[in-house]
Amino acid sequence: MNLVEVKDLVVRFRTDEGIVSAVNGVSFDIAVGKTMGLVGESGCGKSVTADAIMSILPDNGWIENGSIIYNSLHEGSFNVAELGKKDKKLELVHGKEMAMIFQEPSTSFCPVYTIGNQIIEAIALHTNIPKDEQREYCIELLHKVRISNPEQRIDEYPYQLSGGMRQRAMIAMALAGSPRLLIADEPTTSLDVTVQAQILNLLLDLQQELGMSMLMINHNIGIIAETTDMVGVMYLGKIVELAPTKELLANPMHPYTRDLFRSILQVTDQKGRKLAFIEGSVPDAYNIPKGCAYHPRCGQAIDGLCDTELPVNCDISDTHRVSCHLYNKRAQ
Amino acid sequence: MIAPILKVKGLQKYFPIEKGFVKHTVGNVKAVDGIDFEINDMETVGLVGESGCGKSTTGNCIVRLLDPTAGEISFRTSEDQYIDLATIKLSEMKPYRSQIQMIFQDPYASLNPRMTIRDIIAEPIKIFSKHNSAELDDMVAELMRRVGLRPEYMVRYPHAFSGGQRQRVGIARALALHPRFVICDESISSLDVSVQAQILGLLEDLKEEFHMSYLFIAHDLSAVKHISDRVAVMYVGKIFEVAETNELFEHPLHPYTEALLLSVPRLVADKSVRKETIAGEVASPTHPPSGCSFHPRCKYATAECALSDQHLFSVKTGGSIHLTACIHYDKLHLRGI
Repeated sequence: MNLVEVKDLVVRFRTDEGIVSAVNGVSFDIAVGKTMGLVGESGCGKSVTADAIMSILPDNGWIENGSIIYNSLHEGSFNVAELGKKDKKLELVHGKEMAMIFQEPSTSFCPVYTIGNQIIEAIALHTNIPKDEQREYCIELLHKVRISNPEQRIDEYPYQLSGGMRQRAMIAMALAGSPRLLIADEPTTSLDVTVQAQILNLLLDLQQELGMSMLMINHNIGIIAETTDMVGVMYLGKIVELAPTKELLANPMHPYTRDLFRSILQVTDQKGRKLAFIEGSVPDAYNIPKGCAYHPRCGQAIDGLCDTELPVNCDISDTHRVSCHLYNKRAQ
Repeated sequence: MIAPILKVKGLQKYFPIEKGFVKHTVGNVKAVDGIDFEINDMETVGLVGESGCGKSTTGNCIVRLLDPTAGEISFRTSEDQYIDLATIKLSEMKPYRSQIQMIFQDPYASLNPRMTIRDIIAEPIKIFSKHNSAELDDMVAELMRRVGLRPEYMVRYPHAFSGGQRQRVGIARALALHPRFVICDESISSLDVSVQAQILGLLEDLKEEFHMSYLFIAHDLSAVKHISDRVAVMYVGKIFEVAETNELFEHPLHPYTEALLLSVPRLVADKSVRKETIAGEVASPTHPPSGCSFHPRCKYATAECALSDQHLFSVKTGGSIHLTACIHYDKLHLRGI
């Protein structure tokens, strides 16, 4: 069963320099109770994909093509991509069925209201809990995300909490409406490693306890490896490889995935390991190379094919998909 | 053996907390609270720790972007004499500036957007020596080639470059005066993963070629492991452990180092595994806990830890010297990587 089915999603932005396709034909599913991961370097479109699913694209962005089917419990299935930004259906779904946590917990809370005030606002909006019980439920939520002294913390302002604590409070707020899908966009990027490990443990435990589906967006492949069931590797607005996490790590097929894995610095490496790296840098979204977008940096690019023709998706197995000419030829 | 290029002794940097109209001091943020370390010739020392532990403040004190509160920073000049950078007058420091350079974290903020790449790289050379324009062009072109940039780009402005290219410009600028000692303050942490390895490799090659020593400040343990010969672990203004890189990662002798190492995400796909991590967050440098400042978060802590003074002491392991500040190090069986 899939909770979300994204198909051929194209998201464009109007900017001063012209129109950019930030997401360029992305397809993946999020299964019920599972975690889908999107990994890639900056500018690859992973956050934009999440924003499109939540219908919170900025004003200069729009969904040009494709569908985002959300299988709601109460509302039946519908296509999020067709809904306007102010559609009533979204109000029913936001917070109650889908919730999102962001990278920067210090800018996601309003500084002039207490944490409790802001979480209770979400509770009032997304649940039917009577007013006099809302505070108690809020304390329960704070307790659930392992904030110590929730009775005291509920009346504190965001500046009084540390970065890790603020991220916990944001998770509590996201959980207020008992969502079925939690989108986590780089939830630990601004945190220290020890706190990062605490937050990731918390998210894994909460998923197990509540049976939520998750979309985990991260640039750190280590975090993706430890928290997801399926991964899509993104490069310049496309998913170049999609596979179960274990399989992707054991058997990466796309040249970009392979190069990326080789270039990651790991603590488990022996000192003095010769560093592999990808030549050049990610092209900007205005000048996406013709054909396969990775061909100028790819060591296995085939002249006359990779630089002219778009690669199609090749199914390696039922769950493993790669978008590369190398495998297309082999299949023939 | 040649004497160390840098010896830091008892370095302290307190930032006063001032209150009221007359600004009387009501407390101190003890960003760096008495640290000692040495950097040998041609050696890379990694300085790791979580945010707010004082690692960048240490770097800034060495180049005197900040004035240390107390302590000694002895730098061996090219004439083989030690000068104390902690107390030297800024006006007298100029001759040594060319020998100590810094590469910053954010390649977007550390390059002036209104200067061309040529002007940015040539600026330090112009300050220290007289060359005509054509000579400068040649020198800049050579530096750009050396860091992997095409010299014909020297007429461009920083906005035309990607993050990795800008960081190369920052490196070229730091190398312009052929420094003997370079501080890399989070120099690769704002770059994309595929570019991090490129820049790290470049820094390693340049170190050999230009005969430099590095202080490599970073929060990313994997980058530090790759480039450093020795690593110092810092927590709330103090150094907790110093050892040769492989020794530190394989046999940590401080519980904080163990906790850091266990917290790093690894490329192992298993959702059922929970990270062994430590509770709580980094203590405040304004009121650091008594005794060992890590004791409130340490799972091995005893009553003694809150009382005993904390200082680095030497533990011999094999041939190398391993320094730790944990009084219980010999009773614990800490796990490395």
